[in-house]
Amino acid sequence: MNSEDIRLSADKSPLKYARTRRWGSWIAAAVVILLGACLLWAVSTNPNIKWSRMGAYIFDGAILRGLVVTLELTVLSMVIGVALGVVLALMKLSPNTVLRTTSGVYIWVFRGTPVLVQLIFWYNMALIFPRIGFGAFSVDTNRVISTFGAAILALGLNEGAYMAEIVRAGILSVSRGQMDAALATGLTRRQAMRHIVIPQALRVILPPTGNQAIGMLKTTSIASVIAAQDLLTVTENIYAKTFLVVELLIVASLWYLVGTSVASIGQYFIEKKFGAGASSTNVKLGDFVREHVFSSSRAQSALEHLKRESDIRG
Amino acid sequence: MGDKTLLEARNVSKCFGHLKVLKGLNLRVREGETVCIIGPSGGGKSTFLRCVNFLEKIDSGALLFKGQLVGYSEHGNKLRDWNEKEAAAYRVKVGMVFQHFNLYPHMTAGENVAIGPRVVKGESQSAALARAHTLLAKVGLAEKFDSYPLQLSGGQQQRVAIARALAMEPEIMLFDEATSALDPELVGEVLQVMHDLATEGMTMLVVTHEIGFAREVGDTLVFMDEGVIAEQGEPKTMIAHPELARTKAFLSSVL
Repeated sequence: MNSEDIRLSADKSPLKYARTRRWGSWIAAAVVILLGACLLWAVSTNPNIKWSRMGAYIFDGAILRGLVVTLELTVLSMVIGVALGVVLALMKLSPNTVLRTTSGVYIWVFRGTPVLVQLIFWYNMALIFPRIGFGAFSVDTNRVISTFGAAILALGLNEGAYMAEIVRAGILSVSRGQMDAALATGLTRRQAMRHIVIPQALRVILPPTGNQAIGMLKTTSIASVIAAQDLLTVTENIYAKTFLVVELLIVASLWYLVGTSVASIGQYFIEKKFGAGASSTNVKLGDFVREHVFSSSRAQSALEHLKRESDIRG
Repeated sequence: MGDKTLLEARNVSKCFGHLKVLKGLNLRVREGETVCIIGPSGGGKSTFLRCVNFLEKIDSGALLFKGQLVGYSEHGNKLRDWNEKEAAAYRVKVGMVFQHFNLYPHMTAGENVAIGPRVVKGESQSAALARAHTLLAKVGLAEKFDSYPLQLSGGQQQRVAIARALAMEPEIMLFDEATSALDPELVGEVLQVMHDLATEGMTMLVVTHEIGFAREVGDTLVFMDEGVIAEQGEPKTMIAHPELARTKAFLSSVL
């Protein structure tokens, strides 16, 4: 409503629009600012946190090398996870009972046990198979499965089970009629999958896959229990020597935050481009900030989306 | 219309679990003929069309397309199930139009029509799109070439679906209640396209509730009920003087 006066009838005096005051927001803001200030004061003036020594570690060589290992673990595990997930999903949807059951059992085991336990299992593989290979060609297990290798295996194979369910749900979300129509025009099942079903399933698969990748970036920190030289491992190594425990944990947290934030931005752009009801208009960073930092929730944007789509349907 | 039989169903049966849908159905469709199938829902009409297209496999009896068994290939004196390629090659010859259009929502109208020839027949993208344009013009939608299905009305979507089926140059077209999901004012434009196709000599098997279309365009009218063909004949005669009481009851309920 603009500030123009509204005259309902000639004989009455003009009405002025009185804006609704949102007192609740003001009170909430005051409380949050007060509490925030208290916390900030308590932390910043705390003599037990040596802020002056923290800065030096942010761009410390060891920390940065750990960050690189964390990123490598994330990317490689996700690549393995996605590839494995696609295969497991197709197996689970196959009419072949053996393939379906195999996939089902895999998903059951890998989703049903903690990834931390799986990680320690892979790390200790040499206890049950000291050497691996075929016949005369065999190698020392501990050589092949390094700490990095064990972490990749554990995270990737575990991720595969979760991705399988995501991919399967995506494929099932495409209506049966799409496959019928494709078959009826003479496409084989494989061609129909590739050209008709998968492109549509991707719109459902992409958003949760982005969430998985962001989750993976954080989950890689469990690789520190086998000292895989990731960000948390090197952080622990440093504070074991310097006793700057909280300071180093804050440094590590800052880097994890940077990583997940960058990944969230990437996810936003990918979703806008390929996700459900992707529009061809240019997406800008400002849109991301508006949607994620300032109020407007996911659900709200989804609603707006539906509205736009129904406008097109008209 | 020639005298050659294009499609023949001999004693065709089909069950889904314990539910018997087709119970020994016999039908002959000649080249260039338009056969309209009417009947109450649940009578097996759609299932029969899906069997003709080999989207469903029949349980017993035989379906013959140009004298060849549908679903089996002969190896010496043995019959073997079709593999994926043989089934696909057969379906190229049998066009199908669905009640709910089933257009590919991630492709434009033009791409919807072009994808079959491109993937199945290996046509180049440009050649396939050029032909798609001609086919869309034929169904009166040349200007919708770049529109996505969501931007089209139901009637327009169904006409794109017809163009998509025609792109494979089928020898017979199956219509599965092609106008049932449309708003009443959009039915006419789709029936017109179907009428034109029949006039051009396309062989058509049409499951429909449009008795007017069956009377004007159909060469043969088939009343299907409880998994068999209860009555069939020349449309005008049959609509005016149905033999069976249940045909009469059905016709009076839809007219």
